[in-house]
Amino acid sequence: MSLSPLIDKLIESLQVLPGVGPKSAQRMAFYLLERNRDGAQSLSEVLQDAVENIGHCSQCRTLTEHERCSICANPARDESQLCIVENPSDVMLVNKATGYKGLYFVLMGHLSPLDGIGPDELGLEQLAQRLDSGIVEELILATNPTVEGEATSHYISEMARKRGIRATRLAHGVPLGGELEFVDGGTLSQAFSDRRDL
Amino acid sequence: MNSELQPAYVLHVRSYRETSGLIDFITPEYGRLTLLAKGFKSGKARRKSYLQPFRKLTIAWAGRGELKTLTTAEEVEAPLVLEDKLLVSGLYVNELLTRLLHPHDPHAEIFALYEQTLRDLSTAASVELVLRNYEKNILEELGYGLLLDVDVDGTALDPKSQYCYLPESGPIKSDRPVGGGMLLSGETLLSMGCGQLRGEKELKESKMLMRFILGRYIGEKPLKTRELFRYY
Repeated sequence: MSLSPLIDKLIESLQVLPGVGPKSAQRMAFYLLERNRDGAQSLSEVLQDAVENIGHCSQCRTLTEHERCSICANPARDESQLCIVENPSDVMLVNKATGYKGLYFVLMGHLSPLDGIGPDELGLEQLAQRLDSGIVEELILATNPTVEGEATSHYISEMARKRGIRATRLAHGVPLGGELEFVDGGTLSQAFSDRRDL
Repeated sequence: MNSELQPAYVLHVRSYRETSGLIDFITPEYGRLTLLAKGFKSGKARRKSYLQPFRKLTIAWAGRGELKTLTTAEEVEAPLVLEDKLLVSGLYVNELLTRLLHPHDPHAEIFALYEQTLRDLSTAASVELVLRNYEKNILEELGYGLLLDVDVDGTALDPKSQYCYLPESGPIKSDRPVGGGMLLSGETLLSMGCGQLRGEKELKESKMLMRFILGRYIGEKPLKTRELFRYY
């Protein structure tokens, strides 16, 4: 049974969000209309504004409404270090969790030949130009530890090696606060072979 | 329908919905098949770390429709160490298999060949040689085997002569390319036949020949993994 075409449309539109099915969409729609009209109003305005104005940073390709994102535009940041991540959310994570003071480059995905994503589709040309500029001294590869992520990081490390730039990758190991019993064999064997002196 | 436990390797993982994945497997009895792995990316499920290519698993699945659901997946061996260039080669092996083998085409020999190739890659001195043998053997298993001991007339190949390889029929003794074939030495053909390529020239010629032949079976779209070899 449908109440009105407009409500149906709202419910349908809310389902574009990840993890939102018809039922949660309906709950959201009624909540916004019955209990929080102001919130709905500002949500619609901000959403409109964001969709129209947010684009990619010309330097690191993360999401921003400016020409350059706040990290790239910050003069206090160390230009000689460049951290490569797969997604804009990874920038936030690394920034929050570490004291990293360098700059970022967002790949917006990873190399995945079986999905037809090669170096050209990933826009690695832009990264190559950045490496050619001679400012970057260290590349920190923070791609995901999946097979495709590793392949991506390997490809980029070769780009760096050809230009004589130092490339490092994140360590793989046992999670803090975890127990060895619950660590999978692959991670444990990596952690074991990468063990370090105390 | 519940399947029995099957040995399997992951060929490719695609994200599906928020925490699930559509995973391509290769198995000996069911060939290449795609299964839905529900919630495999969520925090609780530890399966995500080994539902990755190049790890030997045993899996089982259930479901009635076209798309079955993965119910069990366990890692049975320590993972093979494939790093750097070997990792890219491994991706190439996966891509080639995906392109050549139709889904649900059971092929125990191809599974064995795939497994052996991964093992060889992780230990062999020459990656090129492993890949060439893999290409040759997979074509043979699929019924497109190359003629590498005699020419089209049935005469034994002469290592000192030049041959023109015609994709549909085989090598013809000729110094010039004829009928859209590819020119190469008899020595390379014989070496390819016994799986022992020696020297730069043989490796290069056999690579060109395999590229030429494979091009006929994989269709218009080029193999994407080749782009990743740009730096070698």
